[in-house]
Amino acid sequence: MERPEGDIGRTYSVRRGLRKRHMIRVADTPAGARVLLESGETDELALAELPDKDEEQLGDVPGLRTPAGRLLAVASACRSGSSKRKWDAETIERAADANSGDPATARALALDALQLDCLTFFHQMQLSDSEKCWILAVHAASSDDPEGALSAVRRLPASRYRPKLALIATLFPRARARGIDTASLEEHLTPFVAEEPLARVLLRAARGTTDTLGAEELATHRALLALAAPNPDLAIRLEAGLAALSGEEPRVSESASAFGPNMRTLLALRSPRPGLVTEADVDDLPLPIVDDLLENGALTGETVLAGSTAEPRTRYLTARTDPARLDDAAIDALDHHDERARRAFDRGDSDALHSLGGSPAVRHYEALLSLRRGKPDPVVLQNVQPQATDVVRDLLALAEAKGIPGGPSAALTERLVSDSSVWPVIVELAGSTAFSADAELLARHPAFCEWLALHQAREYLFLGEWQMAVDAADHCLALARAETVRDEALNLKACGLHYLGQDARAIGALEEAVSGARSEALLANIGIVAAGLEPEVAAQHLGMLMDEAPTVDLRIAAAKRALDIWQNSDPGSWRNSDNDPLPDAFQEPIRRLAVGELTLEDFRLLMSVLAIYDSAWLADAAHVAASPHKDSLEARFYVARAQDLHDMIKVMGAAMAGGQPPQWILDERDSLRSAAVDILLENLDEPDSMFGSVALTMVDQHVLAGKEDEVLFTGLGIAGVTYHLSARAEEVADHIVSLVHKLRADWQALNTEAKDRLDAVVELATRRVAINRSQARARDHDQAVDVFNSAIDLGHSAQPGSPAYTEALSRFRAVANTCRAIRDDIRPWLPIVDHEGVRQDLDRLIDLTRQLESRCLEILG
Amino acid sequence: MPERNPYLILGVDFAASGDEARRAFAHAARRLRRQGGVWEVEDLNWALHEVEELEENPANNVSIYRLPADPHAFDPVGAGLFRPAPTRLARRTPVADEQAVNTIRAAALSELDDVLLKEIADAVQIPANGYELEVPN
Repeated sequence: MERPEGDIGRTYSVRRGLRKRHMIRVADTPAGARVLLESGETDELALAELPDKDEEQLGDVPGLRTPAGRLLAVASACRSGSSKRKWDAETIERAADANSGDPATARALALDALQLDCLTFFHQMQLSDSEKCWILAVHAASSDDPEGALSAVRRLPASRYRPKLALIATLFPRARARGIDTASLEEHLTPFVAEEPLARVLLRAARGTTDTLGAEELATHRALLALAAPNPDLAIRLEAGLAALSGEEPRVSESASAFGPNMRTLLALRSPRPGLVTEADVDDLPLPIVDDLLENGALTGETVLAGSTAEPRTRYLTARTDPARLDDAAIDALDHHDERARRAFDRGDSDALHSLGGSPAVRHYEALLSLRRGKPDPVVLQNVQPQATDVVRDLLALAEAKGIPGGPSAALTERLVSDSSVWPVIVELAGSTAFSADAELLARHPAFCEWLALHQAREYLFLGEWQMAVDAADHCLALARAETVRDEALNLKACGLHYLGQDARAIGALEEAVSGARSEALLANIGIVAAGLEPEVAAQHLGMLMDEAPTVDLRIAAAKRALDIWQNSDPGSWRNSDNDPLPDAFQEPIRRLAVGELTLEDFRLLMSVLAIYDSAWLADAAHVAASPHKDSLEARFYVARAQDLHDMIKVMGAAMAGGQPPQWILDERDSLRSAAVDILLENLDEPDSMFGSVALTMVDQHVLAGKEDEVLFTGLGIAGVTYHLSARAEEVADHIVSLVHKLRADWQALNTEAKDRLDAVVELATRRVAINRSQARARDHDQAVDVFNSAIDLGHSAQPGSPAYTEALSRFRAVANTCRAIRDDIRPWLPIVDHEGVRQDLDRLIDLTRQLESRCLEILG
Repeated sequence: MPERNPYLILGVDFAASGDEARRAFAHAARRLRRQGGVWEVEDLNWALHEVEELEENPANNVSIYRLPADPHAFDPVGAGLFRPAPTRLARRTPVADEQAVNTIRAAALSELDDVLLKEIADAVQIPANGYELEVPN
């Protein structure tokens, strides 16, 4: 930035004694300079008398144009207090005004005043109003204030100040971008239109005219374009835009994409070029324009659908560009007749097709549907659309040739074989087995021959022609390269071999098929074929299916099938590396399946299996921690079942105590009850059986259904437990004795029929406890006899009053007490034991105790 | 001899619907009358009954041989006369009229003016004194 010339506005300082005096140069004089002191005094000094200038100059504000502007800067600083100098601001301003000099300097000073925000000074300057407006406009334009600039421009005389055109040109883009009114500039532009091209452009832009550019305006634009000297890319772009606006053929370049959406659309309408109109533009364009652009190729379906968001336009545009994306309801809503007809044909829905009326499309599809269903009515030829006539005629000829030896093969035309959608119709009309793929056909249409062989193999299987099916599948395998086709051919071959009884070869074919890509169907088929030959192999493949099948239901079905095969074979021959019955073939898969994402019902099913056949694994509750049902009643119940029957009954009891137990718990209870009754009855005389305790736990946990069951299980439980203990010469606990009495009381409370049913069980329980207790008391009696004899021996040689004598008497008293205790324990059984022999034994024991007690009492005197 | 396969006997794919099975039954019965074959009418009756019983969820059955294992292997690929591509909807709007095009054109002109004027604005320098501004012409 250039600095103003001269030293007016410079500041100086000089020391006078202790004080430092500051001065500012306010004017040049013939002799030197006039300076203003802080006191308000002025002094005139010769240049030589001037002290050195201050190092820091208050008036050195960047951008100032004049020395007087420097004075204004100092005055402004003094007025605002930003400087400590005490010069009088008004005095300095007057000095500045006095220095404004010629008009050019005055204008520059005016701009300085505006720059320094000295508006009062500016307005007091000796300039005309229009001059001030212009200066204000220039200043606002330089200060990025288009609104202020245009406001000042509007106050200028309309027909003067030609440079304002350039100023407006600089303001226009910013004003439009900020939504500032430009229409009111028209009167300032019109006077210059005749001579200034820029005025013409600005005027049309200000008016927003929609007229097509005329030749003259076009020339004007182009002239301005040259003047603006844009880069070559921009010049080409603008030229294309001008051409499009004038109705000429535009030369669209890549850079056209930088235009706004409307110019790009206009260009795309004039010169179709994909990419000009983008997905972001689609929603803002009128639908007819979108259709025009689709039709002329400027818009692709992908772009339209990526950008369209508003309904129902989007549905319409989808139907226009990619109807496959619409569901049937949307197609119906659009009343898209031809697509409805096509879809009805695709589904084979002749009723729906018929309901659409007799349009050409419907008649065409009805005719094709008729052929597809194997009905070669010649009338179809009249109804199909022209492009289908030749193929349909060939199909009718093919149908005619059916039954003639070699006829169908001879009737296979190039047209028929070259359209793969026709192949199923060929087979439908003539049957797949009617053709023989000769070398020529094979060479020309290997894909058709491969497909035909696959169909022939399937058709032979449907006909029960197993060997021919195998041969056809082999033929297909010789031709096919695609893995899906080869796998299917192997599957067909395996099926044929299976029915020929060659299961080992069948499994080989299936294993070859699954070696590439596994499918649940192939795995299931291996399971089926192998089941008859080698159950364990079948189960292994079902185990894979448990892991890999796409649906849980299929995995569960595989598990059930594997269990079924295993349980219906000789389990002893299966490989089994642990102590639980479940074989290695599917032990791990079924474990993984059990703790996976299953329904609770399936979880229960598998847990019930594992609790029985894999209890050692399931007994560890950590193994079900991964299951979503790990906290369920099912998990608790079956883990307890795997651990211990008594624990399981406790879980069952807790579930039932809450009321309304789930049905499966009741079913488990009934199953347990049934099994328990069988086991208890079968093992009544088995001294090693401990199942009686299970029965008693069932009673304790209140899991049984009614009083009769409680009496039955209590009786059987007591009988079993007591027999087990008696066989080991162990005495039943007192609570068992109490339980016998409760049992008898409960039994008494039953109705007559129930009592009769349970009479034997109650008698048995009572008898066994009575026997157990009598045996225990008999052992007590034997011990008492030994004590009695020892007391006799001791007392016989002892002096009366001696310690030995006293001990002997004590022993006799103890024996007498024991005898009474034995009788007290035995007597209650006499009235309730029905068995005569047992009663006699009890009586005999009582008599023995009486005899022994009597002898003790005699000795004791 | 392996177990009978109801789908195979009727000549339908595994997991075919009851309707398909009934149609196939009629077809197979006719064929049986005309040509004979390895199956008896009793086999067909049994097979139809089995398929109807299995209709609810045959896909979870693991005791019947699955034929085909992959139904898509039998579908020839590609569109054609009997597998027509979806039909695109014919245009339902009129060709854009003059007014619509003029609206686009006016807005396009405005966009072009903006570009042009911006270029001019960038080319014009406002001098420091404001009085040496030249009008491009």
